[in-house]
Amino acid sequence: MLEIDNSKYIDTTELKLFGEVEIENGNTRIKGRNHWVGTGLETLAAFIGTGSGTGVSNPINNWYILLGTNTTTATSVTMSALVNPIPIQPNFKLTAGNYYSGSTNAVTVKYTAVWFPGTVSGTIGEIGLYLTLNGGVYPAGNPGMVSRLSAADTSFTAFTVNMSNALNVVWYINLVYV
Amino acid sequence: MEEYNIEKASVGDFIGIRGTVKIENGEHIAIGRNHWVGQGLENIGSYLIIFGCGQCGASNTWNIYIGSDTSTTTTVGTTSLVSPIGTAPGTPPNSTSTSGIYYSSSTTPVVLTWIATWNAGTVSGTLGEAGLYLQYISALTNGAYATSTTALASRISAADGSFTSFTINTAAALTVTWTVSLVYA
Repeated sequence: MLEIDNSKYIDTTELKLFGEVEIENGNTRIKGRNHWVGTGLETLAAFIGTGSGTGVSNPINNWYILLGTNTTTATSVTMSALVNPIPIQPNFKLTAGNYYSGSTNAVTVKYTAVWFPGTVSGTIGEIGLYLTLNGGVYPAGNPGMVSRLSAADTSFTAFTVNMSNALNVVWYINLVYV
Repeated sequence: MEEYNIEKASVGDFIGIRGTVKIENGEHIAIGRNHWVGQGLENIGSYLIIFGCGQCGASNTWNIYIGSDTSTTTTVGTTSLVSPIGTAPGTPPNSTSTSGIYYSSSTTPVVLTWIATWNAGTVSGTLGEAGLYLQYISALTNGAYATSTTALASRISAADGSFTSFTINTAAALTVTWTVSLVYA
């Protein structure tokens, strides 16, 4: 996981949100930086700018990480789903979060997904984080892709799933001062 | 074992959250950038892992307060205005409103606005700081939340050099417009 040290200089005029994804499948270890899509921007804004009711669902009411095979289509702001998703949700999911106060001020939220051995196969070229969306142009309560990691963005190198091993994806979202 | 593969950052890697504040009082207009405090940081981060909460929007309960301090800079540990005008957390505005321009299929960024107005004669003295108070989710544990309280999320202050303090013209209304933009960076 990324080490954050902003203790020497903190510019508090702006917050920055970024994500990193770790993939583990047998001997394959990959780490890359995600790309946010418009729905990710929107769902975060809906939380900040709205109050209660149907416009305010919560991101992990229904969430999952999906794998996909596409290796050629770069992520764009308007993208709302993986290009070639493998329609198999993880066998195991977990979320956790930490707030680091004091000299190092940052928030790290972690989404973990595990597919047991033999559950998925083929080439992995894209991975998407799907959270429950908030209001705006999307109905509350429907999970949608907020961020994507893709080989086409050169965020990682596509690989073939080793079906003898579990496939683990850990998606870190960090909120820090600029 | 393969080596870790981290490519350089590019557009879409980051979401930046920026705030600008406009203070209008008669002929006087001040504009400056806000400073986020730790409570604001934690609040937004907490949202990312909550569920089952029907009133967890940060603007479910919110307010803007003003204060007179001109010498204390904002830190990440700042939790309230230093010298609020009126009884802490401050004299509430007479009217408030919000608006938002959300993402559509072809446009970014997202712009959120909170507006607070004090009628003429409601507040007086030196205006050296203002604070945006949002509903506060303080528990960053899996799925936990606690609502119904507001806390300072962001502050603008003369001490930070964000604007020049001024004496409130009590013959005119005072309006604070707090605009937050979420942008790709």
